[in-house]
Amino acid sequence: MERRDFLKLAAISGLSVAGPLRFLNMAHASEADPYTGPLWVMVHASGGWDPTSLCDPKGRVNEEEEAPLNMFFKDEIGEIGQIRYAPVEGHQAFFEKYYSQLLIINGLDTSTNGHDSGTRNVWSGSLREGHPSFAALVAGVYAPQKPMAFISSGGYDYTAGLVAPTRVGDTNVLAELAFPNRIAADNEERLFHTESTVERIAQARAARFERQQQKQRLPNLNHSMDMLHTARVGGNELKQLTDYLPPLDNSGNNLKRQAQVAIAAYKAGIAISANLSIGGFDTHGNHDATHFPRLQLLLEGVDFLMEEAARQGVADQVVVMVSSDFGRTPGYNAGNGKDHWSITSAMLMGPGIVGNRVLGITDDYHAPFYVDPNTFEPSETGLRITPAHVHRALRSHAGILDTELSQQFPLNVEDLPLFG
Amino acid sequence: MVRVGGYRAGFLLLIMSVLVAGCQMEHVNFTPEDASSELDTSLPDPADPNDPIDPTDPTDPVDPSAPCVTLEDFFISELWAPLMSTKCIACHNSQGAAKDTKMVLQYSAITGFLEHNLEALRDVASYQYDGESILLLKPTNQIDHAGGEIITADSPEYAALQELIFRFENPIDCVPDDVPADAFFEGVELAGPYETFRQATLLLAGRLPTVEERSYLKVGGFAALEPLLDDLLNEEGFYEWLKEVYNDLFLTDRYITGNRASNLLDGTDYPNRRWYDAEEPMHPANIMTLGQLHANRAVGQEALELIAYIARHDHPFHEVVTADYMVVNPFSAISYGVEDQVTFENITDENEFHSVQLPGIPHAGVLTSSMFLNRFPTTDTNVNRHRSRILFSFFLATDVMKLAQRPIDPTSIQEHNPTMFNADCAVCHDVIDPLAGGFQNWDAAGRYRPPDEGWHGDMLPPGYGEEAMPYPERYQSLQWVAHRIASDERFMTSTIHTLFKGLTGLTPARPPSEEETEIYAELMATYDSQDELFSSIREDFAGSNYNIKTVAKALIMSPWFRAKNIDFELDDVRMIELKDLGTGRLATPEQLNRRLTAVIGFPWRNNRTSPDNLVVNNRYRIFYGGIDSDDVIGRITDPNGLIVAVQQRMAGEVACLSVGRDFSLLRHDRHLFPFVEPSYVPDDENGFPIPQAQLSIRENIRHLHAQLLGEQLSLDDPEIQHTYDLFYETRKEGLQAISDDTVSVNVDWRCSSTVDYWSGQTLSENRRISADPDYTIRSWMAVLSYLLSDYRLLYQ
Repeated sequence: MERRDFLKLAAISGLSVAGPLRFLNMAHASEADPYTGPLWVMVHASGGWDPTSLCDPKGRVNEEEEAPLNMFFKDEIGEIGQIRYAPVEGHQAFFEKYYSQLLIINGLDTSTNGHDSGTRNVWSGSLREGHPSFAALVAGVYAPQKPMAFISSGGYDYTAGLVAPTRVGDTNVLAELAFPNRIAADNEERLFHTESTVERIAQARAARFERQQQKQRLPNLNHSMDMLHTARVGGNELKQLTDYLPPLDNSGNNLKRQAQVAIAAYKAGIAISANLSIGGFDTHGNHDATHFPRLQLLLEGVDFLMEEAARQGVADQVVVMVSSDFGRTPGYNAGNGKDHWSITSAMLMGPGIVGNRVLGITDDYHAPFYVDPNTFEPSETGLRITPAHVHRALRSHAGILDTELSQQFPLNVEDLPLFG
Repeated sequence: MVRVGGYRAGFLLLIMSVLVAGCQMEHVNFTPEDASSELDTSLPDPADPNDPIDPTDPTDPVDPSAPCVTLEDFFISELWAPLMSTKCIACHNSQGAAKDTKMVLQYSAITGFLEHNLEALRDVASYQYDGESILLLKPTNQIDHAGGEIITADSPEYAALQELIFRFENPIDCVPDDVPADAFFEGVELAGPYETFRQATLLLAGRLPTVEERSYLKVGGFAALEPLLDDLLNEEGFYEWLKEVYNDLFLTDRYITGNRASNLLDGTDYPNRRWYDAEEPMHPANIMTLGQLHANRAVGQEALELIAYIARHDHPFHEVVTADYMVVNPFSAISYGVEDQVTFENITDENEFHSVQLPGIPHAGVLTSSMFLNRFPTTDTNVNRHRSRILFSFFLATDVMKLAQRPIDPTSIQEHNPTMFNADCAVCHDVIDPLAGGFQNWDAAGRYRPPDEGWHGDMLPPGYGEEAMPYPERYQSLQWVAHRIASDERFMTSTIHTLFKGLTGLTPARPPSEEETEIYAELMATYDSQDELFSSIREDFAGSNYNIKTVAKALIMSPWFRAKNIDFELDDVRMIELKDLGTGRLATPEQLNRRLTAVIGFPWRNNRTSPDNLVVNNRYRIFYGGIDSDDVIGRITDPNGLIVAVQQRMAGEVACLSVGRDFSLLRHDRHLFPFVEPSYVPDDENGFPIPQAQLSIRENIRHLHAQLLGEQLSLDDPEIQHTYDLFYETRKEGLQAISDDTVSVNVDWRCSSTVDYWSGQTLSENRRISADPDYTIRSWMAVLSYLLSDYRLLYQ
């Protein structure tokens, strides 16, 4: 079996190949070739958002309309540039602020109504199990050894063993972790070990690690040792995080805290990608009253993310994708809720993405039109835009489409000029 | 049974020779029905002595060592993988175009698909037309087949179908080998009895083996392991571990703080749910004071405590779903208003649980627990489907959502009520909706509230698989369902899967999917190996009256728990086959916490009364990849920069806290330094070696490797020397620094030991550790940090 074929098959089987591949990645991310950005932020609206209440509004003609998709009226729908948005509180301010940067993809066909499979498809491009999330893949290619290479606050964070996801707990103890050799985090004089002893222990540990790994042949154990070793490579960089991490937001919108950590970690040079997540969108009952406030929190969170990026001076280095498991049914159920619907939307912005554009079209029943793969105009011989298309574009945009790691998880769909 | 190699090349050749050589055949009377038929080009030629696949030809070469191939293995390798999982099932599924035929296949995502599909094929194969089985005639389109010609008569698949029919008519019984699945584990190095037991005691009981246990194992070897495991599984630690494992599924620990659990109980049904807040105390002051903490915890963990109760009392484990009782401690008994039903030995003991029955509640184990039902809620349109899915996942080893991995297109749905009448929807809903009806009497808040107008008529009626629930059972619907789950083999499988993951950190192997044909054989070999083990455990489980400890013990004894290396370089095929073998799991924060306490003798805390650093949410639990059962529900299993930082802090801080404390103890009480004193130095003031001291230092290093890492090393092992070098060099540098006055002669006060840890009493002068003029305390700290951050301590 060719090595390349083996790697692909190994990836399919869930075998995380340790050793040469790992060190190949690390060489790629060596000092001579440091990662220079951008930060990839995937914002997940967990539970299945309603695009018709956001960026693909339908509305109703009048109060007599039977089984409307939305309770708001068509003439209330907002519009700025090429983008139409639902008349929900907070939407106008958001879209007016960001429309020139925003790419909206409507009619995105997830081909599923299941939460797990939908989330997986939207964030990996594959309906089936086994593909890593884009955020994990890009971090795995560029710098898996960074201490917070891939920060996950939820969403789809399967990594296929390419990189370890990082989760941030109570930040009050973060300084203790950034300076693990200080007895008290705020006192650089009192140390558990002298600096030279720390170095001596590290050297002894590394030497023992090599001896142990040379003896170990079971792939599972070898992979575990390899992951530990990889994580240790960048351990000392963590202290830089404390230089950039501001007091965390206390507003109750968890997206804001997640955004602060992601931006600070990127600014500190220790993060490549981040999953942000906010829940509460699975509104099978009383949809409008419960769903709209969540959309508001979502957009506030994205706005906060961009503002924080600007405050830290990296606003032009952040690529954001916002999406959800799937969409919600066209119309309300008996409990004024909306159930699962396989058609959804995605919103993207960031360097290299041409804004003020809407690609993909849905009809009044929120069913997607087939579109021409070049013009995105309706075409009976065209195609439906799927998450795989979006992810192929993302990989291409990130410069990882042709890397060995990326090809282990192929996306066998057309290249679409989604990002302009 | 000898493992089937799974290598497809020459498989048929192998099969047929085996039929003659290696198997006990009930009937050997195969004769090609029509050798002259043009359909039979692949059949053996009896006239050709070199034709190796003619079982009737005594001159055919026979390999007496050839492995026996079971019907199941043959079917999977030769038919399911290349043909049926990709072509036949496209129509022959419960919602496909051929759903009304006799051949309705199940997807591999359904546990038990193999048995079901074989039975379906056996049935179809028994029908003949002009003396030929329609299993051959249909796919070749020799008789009307709506799907047309799928295979040709000269294809390998056709030959495999012939072989399958032959096997149906002539069953073979492969003789089990002495060592099951021996070939699969060829070359794998397994942990010995002591190493296995040490791993088990640390994981399950949070302790090291005792001296007596170690001696017992040394003398008795593996024969001694089993009774020791029996004892271990009767320790409280095992029940705690079991709760931890099941909480990873149930996530009901979400409710154990504050009043979160008590508030979920209905105030009308349980007016005393927050009895401890009453303005006029109804119980003694000490009970009232403890009330909130212990009542809320017991209510919140009632499903987990039921599991512990069943295990502790050796009840049949299927009581997890069938128990006609629940469990309460003295405090939650008051909350539920059942304190008169039970007599507690100690009414202040929050860990004393007894069984009770709530009036008017048709109990069905955890399924009717308010906490369980609240954790997995429902809505008016979800109508218990989520609960049904969870039930499949937790207790029937079936991930229904895997069925949703196939693309669907709801936008093209034209049918009224698509969950019943659209194939895309019904593929899942046919499975989950009948069980959803089993929850019909339990509302979104987990209250028993039978619906006034019966269950929904626009769904499949309540039932279990094909069996509809009799109408008179409607008020006890979950009990009716639970008893069917209990007698379903998949319940045993799911229990084994849950414990397998808890013990090894591994997800049980699944049959390869349709997309994995290129490595089908390798993945199937892994699946076969586990399936064989699980099948054997199922027998033992049933034979022990479903005692959960039988499962735990068998898994601990298995190679999947004990594999630690392999004695040759793996080729690519074996690399995939063995990809999951060995417990290379990063210890969870809870596990690492127990392990630290066991090997060090003290918990890792900021001070004596503060909580353990690794298990509270506002310290390192979440950073270390743990869950809070609320927002964070999935564990991180690979180390990242933050986890490494926690490890580094732990290694530094625990070394700081432990070295002095341990030296303060009398030697025979020490965990870490039984062979040395702080005054033991390797060289004298003039730099001349002190042989006896050096020997003691090496002895102690050997002890530390054993104590912390489980390594049994000889004194001349290079690892001992490496660790000794670390001690020696650290001390040498430290002495110079003291001499240069760049470091203090005393250790930092945080690393000193002046009070007894457990009592808080000030230590006598001679037992205090503060001064470190020989720099041995800090050198031992370096050694301890080195070992505490070792892979073998951090990984399970």
